[in-house]
Amino acid sequence: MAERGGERGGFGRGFGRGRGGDRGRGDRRGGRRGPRREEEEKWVPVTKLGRLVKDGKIRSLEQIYLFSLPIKEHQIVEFFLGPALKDEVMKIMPVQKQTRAGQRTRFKAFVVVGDNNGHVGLGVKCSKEVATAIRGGIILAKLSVIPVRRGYWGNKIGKPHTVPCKVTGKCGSVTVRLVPAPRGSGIVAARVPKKVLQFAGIEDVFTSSRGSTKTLGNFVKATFECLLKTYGFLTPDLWRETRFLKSPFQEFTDVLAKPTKISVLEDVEKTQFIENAF
Amino acid sequence: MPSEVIAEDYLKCNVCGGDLGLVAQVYAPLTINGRKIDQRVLYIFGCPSAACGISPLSWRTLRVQSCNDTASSSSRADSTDQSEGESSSTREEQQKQATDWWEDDSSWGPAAQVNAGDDVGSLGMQELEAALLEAGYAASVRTQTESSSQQEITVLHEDASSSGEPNSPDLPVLPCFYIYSQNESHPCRGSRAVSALQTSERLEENGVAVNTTEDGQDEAWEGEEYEHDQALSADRTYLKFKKRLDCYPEQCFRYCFGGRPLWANKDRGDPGICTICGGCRTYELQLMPPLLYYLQQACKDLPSTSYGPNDWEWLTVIIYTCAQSCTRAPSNLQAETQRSGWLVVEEATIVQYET
Repeated sequence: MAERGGERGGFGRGFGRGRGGDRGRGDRRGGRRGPRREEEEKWVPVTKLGRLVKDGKIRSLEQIYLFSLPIKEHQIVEFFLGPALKDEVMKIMPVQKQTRAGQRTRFKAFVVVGDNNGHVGLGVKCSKEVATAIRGGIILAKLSVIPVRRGYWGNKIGKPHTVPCKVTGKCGSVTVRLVPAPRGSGIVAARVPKKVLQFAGIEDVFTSSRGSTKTLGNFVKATFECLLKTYGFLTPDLWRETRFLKSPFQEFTDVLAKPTKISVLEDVEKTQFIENAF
Repeated sequence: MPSEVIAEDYLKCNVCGGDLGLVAQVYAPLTINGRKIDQRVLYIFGCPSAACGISPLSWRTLRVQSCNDTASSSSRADSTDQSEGESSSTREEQQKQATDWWEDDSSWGPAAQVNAGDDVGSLGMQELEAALLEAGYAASVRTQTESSSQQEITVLHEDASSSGEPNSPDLPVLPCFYIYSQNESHPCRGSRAVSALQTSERLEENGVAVNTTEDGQDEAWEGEEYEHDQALSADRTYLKFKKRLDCYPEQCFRYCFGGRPLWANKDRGDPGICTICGGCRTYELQLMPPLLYYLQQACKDLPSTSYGPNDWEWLTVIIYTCAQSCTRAPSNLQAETQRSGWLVVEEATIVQYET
């Protein structure tokens, strides 16, 4: 295509439009895409955060969590967690709606993704076809990946293996409570939330649930809520004075594009913990 | 078309008063109500100076349209007596090119600017799929701001100075790209179906049952209902937007005169009414985020200057134009347009941001 462009410039004298010669051709960034498959593989970032990530300006997912920046592209998570990120379909349920012409059945897929080491995401997608629901569920799960804080039950020997404190999460009528457990207890939970906890990288925990746990959606979302809260809980380790850092948006642009949120304060504490833990 | 037809005010930013940079030049002929308008171009301007391009007021779209049929011949005649910078003649020659290529387009493919298909432009066909335009490659050129030699003017050079003066070196210039158009087939059923099939095959292998409960455990799940898509930080509208984008990840423009825009978030702006005929405005085209990405990538490699598209952070820029694509100028511009044969109208530009 560049060649054609060059010819066009060369042909008509009246065009008078140079391409700056070498720079134009040298700077050609990717020719015409070939088959459609390749097009879909390549990621063109849509959001500002995506552009920063693609450029390599963001070091890790933790930096994004530190400033509570919304992750709006699943490719960002794929970029950082990459092959470590596993996904699994927990359950596919048919959901029916009554219409004049009978019942319309759609499939609801519950997908959990995680790297078994502190990151987990949950996605729920309804679709007319199973495969579409699963694929959509995986994308939604990746968009919802959160960091999970782990701690100790007693002696602080070895790596953190359980939740740092008792946390409880609620969704609908279901409340789930996670209680720290000694090493070797394993995950004491029902089959489905156990999956979520496994993907989060929690090795030992006691759980207790209440409410209509028959509703799978609410049950897993309540568990997910618990995990979300692990980093929101202020423990004595985090009492240290916070050290404010520059948000990636500030760092990489000269202009204050976004107003700094007050939540940066709490988030910096998270960073301190992350730094301490690893 | 001589560039003095465009009033100088149009080329200044509303917010900071600086010069606007030309972001896109879209050749968009239309056929409305049996009336065929060939000489119709949309120019989209944005303010590239630091801290300014963020507000929606610093974006402007102009629709330049010929008022009469003799305009095309007169514009060619005008090309010989341009005293100002060659950018205007360049632009005009492009229009000439565009028209020429439009007539014998099969061998060339899309022209230097965007050629919106004539069939897509018909007002009557509301259900037409949008034509997507992907960046073919970057022929990134920027006139060196310090050089005064202006022989090789880029396509997207905008000329804000009045006639007689050579182009001042401080005008904002953005790298230029060719854009290719193609029709969009509704959300990539094709390839997605293939990969979806693979996913379901993988499921079958792993023995995940779809409808039955797990054997060995009496888990009776119930009470599930349809749920709209939701993620931690993305709402339904944005998820749909992203889904369409993922089908064609390199789309820079979406064009469909009279169609429906692809919204990125819930707040729809108000397009207003046409300043000339008072009729309502209709959606015509929108700019998409890959355009920003490509522009920023191209600017990255070039010497940094005080302006650039690096501050732009919109998710999409939606352009509404007069539904009738009116040609009758209001009284104050009547003399001007009859003399030059071109009508310049400002259209509505709505910018949507990330939330």
